[in-house]
Amino acid sequence: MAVMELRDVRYSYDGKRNILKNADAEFEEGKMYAVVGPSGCGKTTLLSLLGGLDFPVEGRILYGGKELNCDGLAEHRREHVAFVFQNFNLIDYLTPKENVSLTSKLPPLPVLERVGLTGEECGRCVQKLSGGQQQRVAIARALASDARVILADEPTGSLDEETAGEITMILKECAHKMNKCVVVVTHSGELAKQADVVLRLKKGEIWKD
Amino acid sequence: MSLFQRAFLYVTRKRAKTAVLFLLLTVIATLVLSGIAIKSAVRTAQLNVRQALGGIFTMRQNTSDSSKWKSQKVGDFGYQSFYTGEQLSVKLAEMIMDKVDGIRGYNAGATSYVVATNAEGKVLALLESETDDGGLGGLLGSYGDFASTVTAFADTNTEFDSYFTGGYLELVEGRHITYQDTDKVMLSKELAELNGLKLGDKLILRMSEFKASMTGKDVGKTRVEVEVVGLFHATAKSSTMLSNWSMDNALYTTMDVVGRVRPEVLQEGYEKINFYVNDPAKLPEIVNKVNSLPDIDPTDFVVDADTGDADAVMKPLANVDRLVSILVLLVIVVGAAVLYLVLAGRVRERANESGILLSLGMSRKNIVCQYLAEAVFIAVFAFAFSVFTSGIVARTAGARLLDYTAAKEAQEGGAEGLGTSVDGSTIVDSGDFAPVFERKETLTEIEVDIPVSGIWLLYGAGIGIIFLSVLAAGLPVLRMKPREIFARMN
Ligand SMILES: Nc1ncnc2c1ncn2[C@@H]1O[C@H](COP(=O)(O)OP(=O)(O)O)[C@@H](O)[C@H]1O
Ligand SMILES: [Mg+2]
Repeated sequence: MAVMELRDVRYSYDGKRNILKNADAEFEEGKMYAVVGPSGCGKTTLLSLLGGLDFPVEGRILYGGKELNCDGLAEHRREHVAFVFQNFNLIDYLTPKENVSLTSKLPPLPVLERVGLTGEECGRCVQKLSGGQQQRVAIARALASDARVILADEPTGSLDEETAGEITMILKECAHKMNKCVVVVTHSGELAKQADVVLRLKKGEIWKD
Repeated sequence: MSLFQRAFLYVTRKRAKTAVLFLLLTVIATLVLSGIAIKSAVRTAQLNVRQALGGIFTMRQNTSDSSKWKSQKVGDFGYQSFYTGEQLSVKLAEMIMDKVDGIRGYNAGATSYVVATNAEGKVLALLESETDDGGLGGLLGSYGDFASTVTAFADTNTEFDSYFTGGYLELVEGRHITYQDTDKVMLSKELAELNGLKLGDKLILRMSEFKASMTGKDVGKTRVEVEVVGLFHATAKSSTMLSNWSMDNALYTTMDVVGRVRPEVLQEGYEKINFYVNDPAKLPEIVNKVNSLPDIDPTDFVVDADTGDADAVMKPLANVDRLVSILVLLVIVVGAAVLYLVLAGRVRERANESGILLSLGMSRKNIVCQYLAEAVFIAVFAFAFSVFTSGIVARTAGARLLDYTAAKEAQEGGAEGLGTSVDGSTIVDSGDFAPVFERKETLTEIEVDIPVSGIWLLYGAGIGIIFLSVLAAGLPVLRMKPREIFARMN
């Protein structure tokens, strides 16, 4: 059963140009989805709608079969989804362990070890970690929040090829081994190849490859 | 992780930022607290001055009605004029004490000059002091024993003598003298030591041979034996025209004794009566009451409150008070503005952090409270530290400010006509030959302590200002739409 669904969604920033229109999609747990398309086509916008940061002009977004309404967005953000960003967005005066603890519902260390950080690295200042390590911390933070949906906006965009591959594998594990619904916006063909489902954004509509 | 844990980790790990805010808050708090301390010290000093110099009103003979004056031939040399109206007396003073509330004591006094000898009749050795008589002493020295005369104050209660109440004289041994005493005397400890006198010893007071020959009196009949009951010490420097009339050589006794030593004085009453009121603020009201008593004939008496001395000392204090008030206000306004700018700048710098926390589902309130907790956490230590620093600053600055305003006061001659001369000496008594004391520094000395109320005020107002600053600075965060945060983070 789908954990999140888009039903005939239309979205526009200015009321004139539609970024999304007649958009339909289903997202299931245990799968990794890759959202692809040219720059400015509305991939981030789609992610923000799934993440409860905004509300569609028309159509419905469902979580667990229930429609999201305006009042429930904050709770949706807090309880159901977790974000991973291109630039990691860790808090610089906190250690990886503390960053994960910010909203953690699970003990942070096992989660950090799971994404491949050593105990020593967990207590280090985050600025003294490599980009790949920082992104692992960000993924651990998303995992520790116990959200069912992980939304990642170009998570490998600022990483070298090898590290990008490692991060891709971690995200894939999140879906396959931890039963998360992982939605990844990406430009990377390598990442898209690893995804279970590739969604292509074209003229506001979502096409399944 | 709670917002307090986050706040604690921020202030302990971002040490440079913490140090800057700590310094800023310490500087502002030190200035404010020093100001408060100086103000409170000045207020205490003003109160002391009022107690010491203020709250006095004086009753004098009204000498303007010439029909009440008669003259009488004295000896072979000439005439002495005397007053025929009602004299200033103990009875009059007691009546006023009885009918008017709020007076804590009085002293009626008169000044005369006598020769003092020991029990064996040997004229007392006198203390020498620097005088500015332009050779007058040498000239008068040729007039028999005139150079041996000393000032004799006839008081009804030496405790309320203006030299004692003003703190210029201090009783160091024995007791004070009142009009109920018979044949008692008080002298300075220095004069007593010079002549080997102690409490209980006897002295003989008599008219000078010079004066006796002038008035045709027999010196032998003016001898009065008196007992030493008190020794005093002058706490400030004084100067007189003649060295023998200096404060160190002066005696305190009663009108009864002086009357027998100088018989013609008996016809005259006291020169003036000083009344001391409990509450200096009520002085004008009490003076009005005294003036409206039916028993007081305004053609006989003049009652007025001379606040000149107190005013002269108060003016620099009031100036300091005003100046410090302005400075404190300025520091608070400028400090609050700087604090706001610094805190707002920091909140803006941390927009990304705010966004991360919001994206993690934290409430806006929670985030702004973290920033508030950080600032308050630093402020608590900065304010506590400023209690120490402000003590040092207040003591130094307080003394400087007072020196400066006092010096300015003297330069401007603001105290002119108030019985205070430019060099800072003040005439406490109105007698022409009475000793002139240099003003005691202790009257305007500032005792700086940080008042506890000031510390409370600092914490209350300081944290209030921080609260408003962080809230104002955090407004953009409070207003940010999730969509904007997301955009900012990508
Ligand atoms: N806050 C906004 N206000 C108006 N237009 C926006 C805003 N954010 C994005 N857009 C526009 O919407 C379109 C889709 O943007 P976005 O979803 O960020 O694209 P992508 O992530 O695929 O590059 C772009 O043309 C962009 O200019
Ligand atoms: Mg994008």
